[in-house]
Amino acid sequence: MLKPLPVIGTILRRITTRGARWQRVALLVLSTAVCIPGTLLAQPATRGPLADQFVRTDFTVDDGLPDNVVNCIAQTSNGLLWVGTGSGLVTFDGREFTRIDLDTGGSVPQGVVHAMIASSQGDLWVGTDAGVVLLHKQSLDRFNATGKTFYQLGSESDQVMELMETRTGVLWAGTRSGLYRFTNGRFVQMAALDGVYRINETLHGSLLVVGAGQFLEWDGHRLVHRSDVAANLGIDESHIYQAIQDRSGTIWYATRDGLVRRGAQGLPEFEPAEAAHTAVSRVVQGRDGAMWMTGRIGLFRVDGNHLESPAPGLNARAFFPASANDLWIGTNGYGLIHLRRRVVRMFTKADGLPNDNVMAVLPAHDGTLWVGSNCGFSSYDGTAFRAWTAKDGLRDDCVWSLAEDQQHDLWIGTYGGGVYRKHGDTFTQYSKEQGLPDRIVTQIVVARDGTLWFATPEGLSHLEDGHFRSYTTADGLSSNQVLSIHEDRAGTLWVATQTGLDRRVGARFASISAENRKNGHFPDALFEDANGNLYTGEYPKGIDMIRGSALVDLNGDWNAQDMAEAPDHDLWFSGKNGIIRVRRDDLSNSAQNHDAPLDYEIFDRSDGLASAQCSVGIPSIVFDPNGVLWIATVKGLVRIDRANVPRKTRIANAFIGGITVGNKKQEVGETLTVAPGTHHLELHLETVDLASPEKVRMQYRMDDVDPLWLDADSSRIAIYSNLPPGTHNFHIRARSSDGVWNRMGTVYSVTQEPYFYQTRWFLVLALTLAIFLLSAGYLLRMRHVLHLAQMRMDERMVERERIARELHDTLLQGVLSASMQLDLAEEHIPEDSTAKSMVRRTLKTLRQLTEEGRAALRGLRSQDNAQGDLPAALLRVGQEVPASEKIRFRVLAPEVPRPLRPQIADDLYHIGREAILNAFLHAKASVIEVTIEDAGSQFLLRVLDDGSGIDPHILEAGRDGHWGLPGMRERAKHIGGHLRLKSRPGAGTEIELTVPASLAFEENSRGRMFGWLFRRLRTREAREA
Amino acid sequence: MREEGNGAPRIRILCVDDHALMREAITAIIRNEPDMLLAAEACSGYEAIETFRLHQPDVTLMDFRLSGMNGIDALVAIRTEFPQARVVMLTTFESDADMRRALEAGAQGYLLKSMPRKELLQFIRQVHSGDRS
Repeated sequence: MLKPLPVIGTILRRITTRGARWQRVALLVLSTAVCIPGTLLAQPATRGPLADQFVRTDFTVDDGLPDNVVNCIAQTSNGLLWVGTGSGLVTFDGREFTRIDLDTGGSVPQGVVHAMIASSQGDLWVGTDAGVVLLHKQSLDRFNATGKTFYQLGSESDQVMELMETRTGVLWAGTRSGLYRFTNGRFVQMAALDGVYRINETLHGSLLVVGAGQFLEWDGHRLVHRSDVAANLGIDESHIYQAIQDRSGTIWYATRDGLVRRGAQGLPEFEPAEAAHTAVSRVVQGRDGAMWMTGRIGLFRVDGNHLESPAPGLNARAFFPASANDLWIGTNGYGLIHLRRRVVRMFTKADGLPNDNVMAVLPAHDGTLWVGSNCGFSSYDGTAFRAWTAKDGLRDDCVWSLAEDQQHDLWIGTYGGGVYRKHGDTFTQYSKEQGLPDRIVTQIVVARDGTLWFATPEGLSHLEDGHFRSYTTADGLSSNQVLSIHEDRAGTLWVATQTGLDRRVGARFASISAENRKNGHFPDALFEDANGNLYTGEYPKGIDMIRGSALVDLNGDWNAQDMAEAPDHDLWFSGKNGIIRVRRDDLSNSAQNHDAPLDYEIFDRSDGLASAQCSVGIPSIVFDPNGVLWIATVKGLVRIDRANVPRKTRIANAFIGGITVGNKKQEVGETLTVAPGTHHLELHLETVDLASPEKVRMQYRMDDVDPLWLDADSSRIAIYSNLPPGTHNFHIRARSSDGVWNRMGTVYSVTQEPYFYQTRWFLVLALTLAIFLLSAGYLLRMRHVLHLAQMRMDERMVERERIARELHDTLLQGVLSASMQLDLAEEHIPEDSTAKSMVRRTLKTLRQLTEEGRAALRGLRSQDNAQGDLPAALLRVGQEVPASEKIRFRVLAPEVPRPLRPQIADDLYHIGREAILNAFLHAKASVIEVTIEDAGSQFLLRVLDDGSGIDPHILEAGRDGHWGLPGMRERAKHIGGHLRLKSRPGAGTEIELTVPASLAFEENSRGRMFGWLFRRLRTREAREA
Repeated sequence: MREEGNGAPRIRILCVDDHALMREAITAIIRNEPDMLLAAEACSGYEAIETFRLHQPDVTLMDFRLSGMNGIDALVAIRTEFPQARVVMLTTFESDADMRRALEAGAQGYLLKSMPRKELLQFIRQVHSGDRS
């Protein structure tokens, strides 16, 4: 069914027009094609004429170019394109033109740029109408270009016509006044001429110089007039515009009468004659070796003897072939033109398709390519499209889905007419009448068992043994609106519906994930790679992987409607925003490493697609048996030969192109230091991508500020307000238009200077101050609390005094008086009177009452006991106890005691007395020792015995009986002291009372801060054993 | 000196106490004794000194606690002016130290107010007859 092969000679000729790499690939393809006749690949290369192989983009003053006259173009090692115009120099990063100010202090104003060279050192030399400006390599990334030097060549303003660098790195300039060589930091005139327009180096190092009306050669020492050259060529000497020796040794002459090549074969003729015989102004050899000529009627590439233009009719003033696929052309009045190699071939109505809106494409087993359009149906045999219509039996031709079953029958899913089966040339229709749930069939899947599944908006349909069986929500489907079907390698049927993702289990369907709609995303397409990884395409965009019953987010960047896996395991996705190529393993592993960027390529309009939007039919992206990729898009059928799109690994170079601090632009230095109080910092991210700048993506992250990489928006400005003080690393990374991330990225150091109050020493100072203030506050508070406690104690004393006085003065005196008088009265009562005994009882009671009153009074006033001399008072306690001679009892106290507060001395005495009495009466001790210490910050009273100790039970239970412990504790607490009791049965008892000095001692006794250091203990021995 | 009753001279007593009730009780006790005569009463230290000058009693019963000048100070003042003065301190509950001070200042002795009446009277008689307790 294929037409015979086209003339092989034509193919060969075309192939030889390409670069060497293309040649190899194409020859390989060709040999394959010859071996397997009758396949699609035996078609001629998708290339048409050279002009059809390029996508053209024009830049004019409307796009930021300063002038539509472009004189020269160069590219520096950082990738930036430099364009010399009739109104100065601009640089281009693929997105924007940035004007470069060439003026230096004192130089003549420079308008026109005539010549330019990017030197092997990486510097840029610019020849203007006033001289030469050198832009130093280091300043080329920074568009404010401060590192520049101006050179004046002639005695006065001298227009530079030509700049060139020899292979040994020597710079030459041609000006209106002669030939110059750059030596020892300046341009030295080597010959005075009326004008030097072209300088080219020969393979043996001499220079071919075109002057005004003269052709000359610099032989290394002097300039020789070579009138013989023109004579040999048979032309006038003044008609030679340029002479160039290519890398193979052939010398090419651009002449007024056309292109002349002088090789071993003499002077061959070029065709077509019109191009060959019109004035040629310049000959250029590309990096790939290809020869190009620009002339009055356009730009041509030399293929053997054939001249062909990639852009017919374009008058090229400057030509820069960045690569075989990437041509830059400067014009005289039409601006700058960029030609990019088209990697796709579009088929549209013009090629015989019934409709540009192609929905589905299917390569059949016999090599036929079936193309379903909306509406229209056609087959492609590699040469032409044949339409299939109602006349053939296909009454509904709005085709949305295609499939070929195991018997090689073709199944055509339509919009409105159900499905058609094509057997031989006969079409049979199956629709609702035959059991389909709906007349719209959006996908057809041929199962491993040979049965067919159909997706419709009203349910899923299964064709088995000639019978349709419908599956709906009644069978467990999450929705009747079926979006996608997939049978995985294990034979499980997966169904994506409008509301969920289902899996066939037995005869029913079960939803694998109740929560498939995250943030409004839901799966609407299903794919599987050759490793058995199952993916879902998410609506509106994103790719997930099905893991068990969970969806793992892989990438949220693009929309995927259908997928095809190439033999080299690249996955190709058709989506709404273009065709995506990604390495299978990169994608399937991206789930494990979320922050690592994913490399993927986008193919869109910049690659020659009429529209980046792929169609929603299935299949919409397929490989034919020969590995050619076919994609259905809304504006035509796309063919991609993978050989035309080798994987490129060009890494984007990311850098900071500009800085704005506050509202002021600032120079980009090696690092950036920002003054304190800066609230607004803009970092302009730059990357150079001349090929397809719109595919470039940039991300940035400021350490200590950004927790994640952030996507730069189209402005490519990272804005920070109120950076924390300190030095931060600012990271930039970019994905080139080839889809490769520059993972290392670029790091730029940004230092935010702190305000004095943000510095470390200030922090230390502030902390110190804070601690000081807190301490001071605490001390003040303590003093206040102590003062309150003293006041309370004083009040208590006053109150006690008052009560004691009352008790003494009124109650006790009254009782005493009454009992005296009653005593007197008793005498007068007769002995036999019953009243006598009653009065005596009353007297007795009164005496008892008196005694109790006295005791109470003693309790209230007993400070008298201790006030003067606490140690002496405590020593006396020992005397109270009968039969205590056997016990050695002593009191140790400072020789010069600090006076105790009277309010507290009483309580101290009572606590000590209780402890001493306990030791005497209950401890069965042989030694009792009382220590009174003035330990500077606190008063200490310790009673120590070597007796039987206190039973822990008593200690714990607090059952005091005669021990009086709670009373002691209460007293201690009352005076702000702390009572500690250590005792073990058989090992004695130690009772220790501590009271803060400020509470214990008189206020005016405070001066003796270190007194305790010098205190000596005075021992008072009570009794020697 | 005045003679009364059976002709034997009565012991003339000055009672110094700032509590009327106390004075009343002591007055009652003394009045009941035929050999004793309450020569005068005073309710403060100053008044005690004045009254002593006026009546020159045989025995003065002086309370320790008086408002204004206390008992010991009054004792000292009287003993300075009248070294022969016999003063017995009355106390409710005073401490040993106070007692010692009183004795050092020349008091003939001291009595607890809660003592049985008879012991109190006996002590007055002893003091009057020259014995020191």
